[in-house]
Amino acid sequence: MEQQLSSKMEELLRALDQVKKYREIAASMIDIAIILSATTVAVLVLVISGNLWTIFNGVTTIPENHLPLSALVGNGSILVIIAGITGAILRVTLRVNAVKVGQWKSILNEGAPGAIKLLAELKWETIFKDIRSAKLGLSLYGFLKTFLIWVFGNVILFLYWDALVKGNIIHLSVNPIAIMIASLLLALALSNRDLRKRYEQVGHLDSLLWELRWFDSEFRRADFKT
Amino acid sequence: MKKSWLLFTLLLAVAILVSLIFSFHSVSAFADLNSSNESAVVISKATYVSLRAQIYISPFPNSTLTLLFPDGSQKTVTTYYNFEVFLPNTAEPIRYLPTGPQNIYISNEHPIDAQVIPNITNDTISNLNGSFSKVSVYWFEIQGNGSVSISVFGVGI
Repeated sequence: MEQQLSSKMEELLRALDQVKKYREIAASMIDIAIILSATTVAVLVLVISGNLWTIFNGVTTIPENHLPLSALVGNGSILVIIAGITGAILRVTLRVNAVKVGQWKSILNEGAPGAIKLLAELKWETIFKDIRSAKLGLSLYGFLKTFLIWVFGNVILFLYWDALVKGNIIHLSVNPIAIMIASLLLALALSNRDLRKRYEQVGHLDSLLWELRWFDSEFRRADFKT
Repeated sequence: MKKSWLLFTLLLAVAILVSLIFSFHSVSAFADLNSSNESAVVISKATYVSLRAQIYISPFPNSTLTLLFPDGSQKTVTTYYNFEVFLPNTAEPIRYLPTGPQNIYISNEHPIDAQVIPNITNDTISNLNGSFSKVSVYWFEIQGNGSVSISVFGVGI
C-alpha cells in the first residue's frame, strides 16, 4: 500500500514537473516575440538597404568577380532568419531546461510519510493555474512554429523569385499572394504531425486537470473526515 | 515591463519598415525584334519615383541593332550590350493621379513601367516626345534584329 502511494505520488509529481516545463514555454513567448521582431527588423533593413543601393548606385557598381548584390542580400537575409529562428528555439529550450524538476525525490524516498507530506504541500489552485498556462503555452508554441515555417518559406520563395526576375531568368513579376499561399500549404504540410502531437498533449493536460480536480475534492473530503 | 516596451518598439519598427517595402516597385519587359520596322524602348515613371533601369541588348547572329536616341545620337550594337539608366525623383512625394503617353499605364499602384513598342509610327514618336503631367519618360528607337530585355527597379520615397 505504501509502495503504491509512493509510486502514484511520483507519477503525479513527474506530470506536474512536465506542466512546469510547458508553463515555461508560455512564459517564453515574449522573449520569442522580441527575438523574432528583431530578426524581422534586421531582414527588412537588409532588403531595403539592398534595394536602395541597387536603385541609387546600380548593380554595375559591384566589383567584378563578386557575388551580385541581390545574392548577398538574399543569402544575408536567409542567414539572419535562420539565426533568429535558432535563437528563439534555443531561448525556449534553455528556459525550459533551466526549470528545476525532481526536487521532491529526496522527500519521496522517505516513503509514505514523505508522500503524504508532499501531497499536503501541493497548492492546488496554483497547479490548476499552471496547467491552464501550460495548455496555452503548448498551443501557442505549436501555432508559432507553423507560423515561423510559413514566414521562412515566404521569405525564401520571395527572395529566390525576386533573384530570378532580377537575374532575367524568368520574366514573371513576383506574385506575393501566390508565394503566401504556396508557403502556407508547405508550412501546414510540414507541421501537420507536430500540431497533432500538441493537440494530443493539450488533451492529456485536460485529462490531468480533471483528474486532479477530482483528487483534490476527494483529498479535502478525506482530510475533513479525519 | 521593459520587455513589453522593447517588443512594442520593435513592432513599431517592423510596421514602418513594411510600409517602406511597399514603396519599392519592379517591372521587366522582354521582346524579340524581327521586323524591319523600328521599335521603341520606353521606360516611364511617376515623377515622385526614383528609378533605375537595366537594358540588355543582344543582336541576333550576323545582325546588328541600331539605337536612335531622341537627341539625335545613335549607337550600333554588333554584340551583347547593356547599359543602365537612372531617372531621379523630381517631385514631392504627394500621391496624385499621373497621366503618361498613350499605351503607357502609370498609376499610384503601378508608378513605373517598361515596354518595347513594336512598329512605331511618327504618331507614336510625337506622342513620346510630348509633355506629360507628373510622368517622366525615357525612350529610344531600336532598329534591326535582336532581343531586348529591360529590368526596372523604382522607389517612391
